[in-house]
Amino acid sequence: MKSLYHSRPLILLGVLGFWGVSLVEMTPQVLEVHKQVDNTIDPVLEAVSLWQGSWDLFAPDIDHWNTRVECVITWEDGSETHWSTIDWANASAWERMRNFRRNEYFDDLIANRGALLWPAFGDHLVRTLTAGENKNVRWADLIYLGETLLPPEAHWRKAYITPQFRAPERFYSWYPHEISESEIMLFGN
Amino acid sequence: MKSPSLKSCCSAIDRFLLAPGDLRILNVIRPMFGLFLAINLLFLWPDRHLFFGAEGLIPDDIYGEFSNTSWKISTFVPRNVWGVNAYFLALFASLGSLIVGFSPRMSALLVFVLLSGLYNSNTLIFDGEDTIFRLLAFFLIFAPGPLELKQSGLPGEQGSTPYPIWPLRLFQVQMCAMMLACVWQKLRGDVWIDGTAMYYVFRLYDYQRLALPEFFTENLSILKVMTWSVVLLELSAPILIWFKKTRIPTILVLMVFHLMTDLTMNLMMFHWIMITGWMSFVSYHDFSALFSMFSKRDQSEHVEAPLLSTN
Repeated sequence: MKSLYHSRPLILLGVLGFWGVSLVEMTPQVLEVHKQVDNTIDPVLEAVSLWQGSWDLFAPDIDHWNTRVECVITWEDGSETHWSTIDWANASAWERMRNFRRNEYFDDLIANRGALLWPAFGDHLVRTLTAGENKNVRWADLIYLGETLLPPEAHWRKAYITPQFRAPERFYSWYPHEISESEIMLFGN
Repeated sequence: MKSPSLKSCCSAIDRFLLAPGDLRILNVIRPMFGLFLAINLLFLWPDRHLFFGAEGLIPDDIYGEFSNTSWKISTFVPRNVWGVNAYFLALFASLGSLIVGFSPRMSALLVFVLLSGLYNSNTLIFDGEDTIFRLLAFFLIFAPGPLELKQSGLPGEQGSTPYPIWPLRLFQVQMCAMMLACVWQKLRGDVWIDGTAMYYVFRLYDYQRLALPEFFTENLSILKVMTWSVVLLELSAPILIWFKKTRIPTILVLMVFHLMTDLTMNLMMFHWIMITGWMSFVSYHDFSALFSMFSKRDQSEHVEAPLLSTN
């Protein structure tokens, strides 16, 4: 085994090859040829789980918004149950660590491909929030709250304060069964 | 026949990769890596079925959309309660084995395979920190274990056959390349150029941890200095760290930067795995000197007490 560590051709091929493909992957694609090479090696790197992307940590831009997801379950008797993602402004250090991964998920839930996730998320929330209840769910609304951070010269927002969210926006309604348009009209949701 | 410049280039590459090296710092990096990854995964443990089970947030009908084409949990076990539990436990067992240094290369291989499988199973919840963990796990596959390093001896020792330096170079080059790539990306963004990046960072409420005094967060000039300092550090550190004279100060600045940022920003174990990576630039000699400085101080306190009392 140790002789392999000293095998010059093997080491040069392996190490320099790895650094070469990493360089192609890490650097921004300015030239067309760069893009083509990157498109060729990306599937290979993904197949061997050695992809690393372009290291755009907080770059080139930074998120300019704070978000929160809420859910309102409406029961058949008309009563409501409310749920929301963690209130980061008042969360403890432990809660922040505990919810870090969930936050990554919620970021995706309200991003481009999020619509694919909504039915399963609705199922999960309703399943969790209705456990032990002896009444039926009429529907559940998923709601998005957002705050946009304007440039400091346009509006100076203090740090470490609770976000001033815009009016809530419903982005998905979950129903316990396939629902017709007339039923939606009837219940007014 | 090779030209002189090509020849000198080849010999420089040979020296950089194949010269005998003191790789003992890898015996420090390995358990640090294992410990920080274990902490990271322990926070994921309560949500394992939610994020990786077929009954969770990614059911089978959308699994293909949010997982990679490479190997994943379902390659090895079914995505049910039993399968996900078994997968996590196997990963923890491999990590334990890596931390204690039992069959370190095989343990690293297992950690890399299982960790990659985890990441490949859910592309929604992992970020840059996890990419570093995965890559360092891969590099550890090539890191000789403590026993092998002891048996091979050190460079310059009589009768020794030391390992070449390249397993350590994998860590070093990765850390520097990563940081330079970050700078490149930052320089393409307006907020890092106009100096307002830190203004936004301190106002993203999901990343906050300990609050800095208003002096830092409510003064645009200070925020601009902080923004540009980050860029300057990320640009200079990967260069200065290669020179003997500037290495130690650079490492110290990096450590302070990562620890301070970790105190003020919630990025899970990102800064801890970065510190682990930068450890590849610390010589084992310096590390053990620092370590023994503290242990000697402890020892001297223990020794002096009875001497004083007998006088």
